[in-house]
Order: sequence, then C-alpha cells, then structure tokens
Amino acid sequence: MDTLQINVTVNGRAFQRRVEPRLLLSDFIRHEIGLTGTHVGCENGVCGACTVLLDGLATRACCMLAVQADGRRIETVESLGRANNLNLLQRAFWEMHGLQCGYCTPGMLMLMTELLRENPHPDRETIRLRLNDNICRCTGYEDIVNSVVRAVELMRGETAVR
Amino acid sequence: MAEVGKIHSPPPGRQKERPDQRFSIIGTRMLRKEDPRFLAGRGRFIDDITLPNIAHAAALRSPHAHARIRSIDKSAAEALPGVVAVITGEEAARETGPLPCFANPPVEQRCIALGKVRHVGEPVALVIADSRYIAEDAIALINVVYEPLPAVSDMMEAINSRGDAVLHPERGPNNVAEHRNYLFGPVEQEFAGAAHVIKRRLRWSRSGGQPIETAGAVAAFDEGSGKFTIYVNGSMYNYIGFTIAAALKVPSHLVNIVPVDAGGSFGSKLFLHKVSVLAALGSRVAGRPVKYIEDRIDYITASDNHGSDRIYDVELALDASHRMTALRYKVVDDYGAYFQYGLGTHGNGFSQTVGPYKIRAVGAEIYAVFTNKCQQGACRGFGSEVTNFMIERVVDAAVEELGLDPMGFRRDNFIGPDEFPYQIPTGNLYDSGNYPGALDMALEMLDYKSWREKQQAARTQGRYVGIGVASCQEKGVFSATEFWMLNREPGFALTSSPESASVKIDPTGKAVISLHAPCWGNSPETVATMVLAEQLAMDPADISVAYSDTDHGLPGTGPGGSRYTVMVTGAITGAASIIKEKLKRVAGHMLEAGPHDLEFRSGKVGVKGAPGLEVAIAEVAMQAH
Repeated sequence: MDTLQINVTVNGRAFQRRVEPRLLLSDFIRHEIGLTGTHVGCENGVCGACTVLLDGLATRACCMLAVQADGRRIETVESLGRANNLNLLQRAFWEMHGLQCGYCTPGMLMLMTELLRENPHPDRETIRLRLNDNICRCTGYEDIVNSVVRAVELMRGETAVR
Repeated sequence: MAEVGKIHSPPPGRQKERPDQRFSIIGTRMLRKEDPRFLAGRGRFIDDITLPNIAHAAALRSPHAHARIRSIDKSAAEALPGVVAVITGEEAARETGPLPCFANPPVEQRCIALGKVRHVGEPVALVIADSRYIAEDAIALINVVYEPLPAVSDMMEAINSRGDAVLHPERGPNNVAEHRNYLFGPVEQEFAGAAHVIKRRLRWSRSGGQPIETAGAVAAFDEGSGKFTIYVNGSMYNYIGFTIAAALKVPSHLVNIVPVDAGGSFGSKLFLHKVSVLAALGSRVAGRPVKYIEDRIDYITASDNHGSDRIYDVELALDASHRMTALRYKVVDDYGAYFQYGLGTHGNGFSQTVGPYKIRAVGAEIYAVFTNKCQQGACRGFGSEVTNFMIERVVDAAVEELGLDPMGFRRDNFIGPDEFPYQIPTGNLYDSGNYPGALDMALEMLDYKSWREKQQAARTQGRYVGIGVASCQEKGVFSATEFWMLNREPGFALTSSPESASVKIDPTGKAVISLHAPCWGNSPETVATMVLAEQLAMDPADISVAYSDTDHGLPGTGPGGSRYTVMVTGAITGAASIIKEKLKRVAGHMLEAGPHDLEFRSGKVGVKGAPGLEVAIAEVAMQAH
C-alpha cells in the first residue's frame, strides 16, 4: 500500500515517517514511535485509554489517522514525570490510589493534564464532568476524583507531597 | 451426613500467625509499589511485548449463532501480499487437540471451530500476516459457506432441544450439559414440617468482565528445541498451564508461559487457553513469533468468560416462630456453548449456601444447559454473589409475605457469635463471625433509624423511598478444585488449591520475592513486600518483586475468586519462616547465642533483651553466602 510522509512532534521530539494513510494514530504512537504508554481499549472512541494531547487538546488516538496528525504536536503520558520522578498529578494519583491495574491511567492523566492547564483550580464537580470522557473499570472513579482534587492542592502548594 | 451447627471439637487449625497481632508495617499506609511504572506509562502489558520478525494474527469470526461450516475458500486471502498463513479449523485440528475443559466428560471446544460454529464470534479461521492491518484485510477475503442451524437462545427451551438444535449431540439428545440434585440434610422432612413455605422465581442475568484491556498472547515456537514460549495476560498458568501443552499436543516441559501485567480481569482472564493456543499454533505454522490480541468485539462476543445466567425457583421453609429451617431450589444455568469449568461456578455458592443463617438443610437441583452464546467462565469472585442474591431475595419475600421486620427476622435467624465454629449443611466450617455486630455497624453507618423516619415523612408527601437491606456471607478465598469436584466422577480427591512464593536474600541483604502468579490489577507487589518486611523487620525499599514463568514457577493458583491476597500472604509467611530459621542459625553462630534467644529488629538479627548485640541481615547473608 502507498505511504505518505508525515512530520510530527511527539513529546518535543520531531519525527519524520512514511506511513500508510490508514494507520491509526494510536498504532503509530505505540508501534512506529515505540511509546507504549498510550493504551488501546476499544478502538471505538468509547473508553479513552488512548487519550493523548494533540496541539494541547485531549484527543482519542484510536479514532484518528496518523496522517491527520501531520504537522501537529502530540503529547503522551511519557511526557509527564518519569517513574522515579513523577510530576504532581502523577504523584497525587499515587497518593490517593487513583489507579489499580494502570491500563486506563495514561488516558486519565492526559485528560486531566488538559483540564488543569485550562483551569488550574477546578472544583470537584468540574473534575467529575470532565472524567465522564474516560472509562475506568477498577477504581469506581471516586479515588480518581480524589486524586485530581489532591493534585490541585499540590499545585497550589498548600500541602507538601506525602 | 455432616453435623450442622456449632462444632465442639473442630479440626486443628494450621494457623501460624495469631489474629489481632500488632504490626509495624502491615496495616500502615504504604504507597503502592506497582504504581510508578503504571503512572509513567511503563507497564508491560501484552500488546507491549514484541519479538524480532513478529507476525500478527486476526480471527475470522462466525456471524451465525449456530451453523454448519460447509466450505471455506481461503485462496484469495492467501494470495494477498503480506499474508503468511490462513488456518482453518480442519488444519488447526491436525496441529492441536481440544481446548482444556474441566467438566467430566469434557465438552469439545476447538481453538478454531471444527465443522460447526456454536456462537456468534467463534473463530472460523486465523490469518497470520506481516501486520494486523493486512491480517484483517485477508479476513474479508475468506469465503465461508454456512448452513444455519436452529439457534438456541432460551435456557428453558434448551432443556428440551432436539435434532439440529442440539449443540453437542455426542453428549446426549438434548442441550442439558449436566443435571445434578444435591441434598444436604433432611430437606424433605423440614419442608413437610414447615409452618410456612415462601416461594419465588428469581432471575440473575448474564454479564461479562470487560476489563479495558482485552485478552491476548504473543507466542514464539523455537524449532531447535521444539519449545513454545507464550506471553499471555491470563492467570493460573502455574496451576493448570500444563493443559495448554496438551492442547498443543506437546509435553508440558516444551511450553513456557510468561506472565505480563494484565490491564484488569474481573475474572475474565482467569485462564486464557484460547488466545494462548491460537498464538502458539500460529507461530508453529508461520515459523515466526505471532501476536494475537482480541479486539473489543472479539472480546465481547467470544471471551469464553461470561458470568452466571440463571433462573431460580426457590423455596424457603420456616417454622411457626419464623425460624428458617430449610432452603430448596431448582436452578437452570445457561452456560452458553461450552462448559470449560463444569458446574464450578456453583462451588463458591455451596461453600456458603446458607449465608449467615441457621438453615439446617439445603436442596439444590441444578440444570446446566447449552445455548448458542459465548460460554461462561469466571466473573468477579464468581458464584457467591448469585447465591447471596438468591438467599436475600427469598428472605425479603418472607419479610413481605409474613409482615416481618427485615432486621428482626434476619437477626432472629443469624448464626450467633457464640456458635462458631459452625458447620453448615454442605460441610463447610465457618470459623468465626459476628453477624449482629456487622449489621449494627452497617445500620449505624447508614443512620438507618433516621432514614426510616425520613421515609415515613416522605410517605406523607406522597413520595416513596425504598430502603433495602442485604446480609451476606462472603467467603475469604476460593479453591479452583470446584472446577472438577462437582463432576460425577471428579478424577481427583478433594484438596485445596496451592499458592506459592519464593524469597531469596542476596549476599548484600536485599530480598527478591518471586510470585508465581501475575500482576492482575490488584496489588500483589505491595502486599508481598509488606508481609515480608513485617516478617523480617526489613525496610520495604530493600525488597523487590518478580513474577515467575512456568519454567521456574511453583504451583500457584493466582488471583481469582477473590483469593490472592489471603493466599499469597500465607505463602510469603511460610517462606519467611524458613528464611528466619536459617538467618537465626547463622546469626546465632556469629553472636554466640542460641537461635531461640534471637529476634528480628529493623534490618538486624539481635539478642533479645540486649540492645546493640546484633548483626545486620546483610552481614548474615554475606556470611551464609
């Protein structure tokens, strides 16, 4: 099958690749770039596990073609803190038990990264409404909401990291 | 017949640790050991596994619920550039045997349907190609001619199915997979002497686990050694994984199953035989490693792990003073197209078949039937939830019919706190409990009294507020032996199911725990670390956790039926006790003290009552090394 050349920036690094026009952005990120933190749960836009930021906007990577990302800027979970140096949002998820199996977690983190950039002080209701976008099957969501509330506190510098 | 009620001379316990101990690490708030890698997107899930020269598989799925496969034309698919192989059921049957089944006699299920499809989504052909995209292209080019057969979707009708509507004619003339009548205690007499009999028909509907990550496997067949390596996101590989080898028609030492992080299971990945065998078969045929990941539709229609689907006709016998005396039910259970765990999903229920109540006798007539649906598996600590639902619905029915107080009626029938250990009619021993205390606590947390008042106030305004109560027994663990112990001829004596852990202290005093079951979205590393740190008074930071494959694993049933935390805690406690003995023997020499005079304190072995007289675990470990 014919391929097209695309230029994308992923987590600050520029990539030039030839891809089939039908290649999903999720598969491009996972298998062409090798960043496997972006997960695939439904390939149907329902679960949100594949959520990345595209030019800063939370986007389902499974419902978009890689060629549509040409010339655009992608941020994945790997752009946040590293395992030995988590950022405040990740730290808050750790403290508040905002994950169990960890499969939906990257999507949740990217969705909340978008929220906290546009509104650094969201109230509980705002957080809940935005979390509507993604599915978690382990936690029952309450601890995820608590995690984001905690992240807001940490970012305000009101309390120290535990 | 087992005696029912308080047992005055219970069998001796094997408990090594006393309850109500004070702990320094267990019970404290420790951040989960598993989390940093998941938070950084560095988990190792099945689709994250890749191997050199890997090929990708996709399955052609049956669009029919029930049909004969008349012919398969795969020539166009095979001609597509990038396609490595197209495998039909007949070809698969030359390389593989039936998938594991614990019912006796077993029900034949093939990794790729052979001759007939029995549910929508059942694999009809497997395509191996250079990419998943090409494999899916090729699927669309396979031409299958089906002869549709009557589809059985109603479990009551399944009992009387005839002719072409019978899914497995070799097992009998209808779709009854199994029909058993279990009697525990004098059921007939209790009902004959009952003052009241409460009857209800109850419906428990089908469900599916549906974790966000589907099931998948990556397999590599090594021609040189004749050995398969299979990465899979299932569990139980160190318990019944050897049956995968049988399905692949090789001896068990020629299959090594390697665990990966599982993105949730909820029971539905308990034993992933189909994806494992498909990927392994594909690898042997293609001569390349093969990845096979079910997509969401594959998983919904053909996960092999749907939940219980039952219709109960239940009767509860009461005496004149409203004491529950006996419970009797007939249940039809829609197992779908296959019967992998036999009647196993009723085993958990039997272990707590009277709930928290002093019911003296139980009768259970079970019809397991075949229908043209995905088969049942394990779903969410399976079995006990349905039994609890059934008991509590009929208890509420008694409350309603006899005009009783829902709390008072339950309390009057509870096994009392002073009646433990208590043997229930099926023979299980409840070791301890305080049901009135638990109910009091729940009512207090809910502020039940004030809700009853609010309910009354709402009534006067014409608003109807319902308050429900359920008082459930929930078993601590499960034993997978229920997969076969309910067979007419179980094949094995009744035992428990094992759990293992290995602990190694290296020469520098750091510990590595090997678990013989996977990380399944629970917290095995955190649990294991806390238990070992407690036992050896070690710093949790000095402990790491690894997962054994089947080449190195000891018997371990793994997470399933809500058992793992309890069972692995016992395994690590056992392993720690062996290491403690050894550390004390060596430290005793170093300190010139008897092992009995030694204790563990903050990373050291020291002489009791002699602060400062101690050696670090690291020093002992290096000495022993």
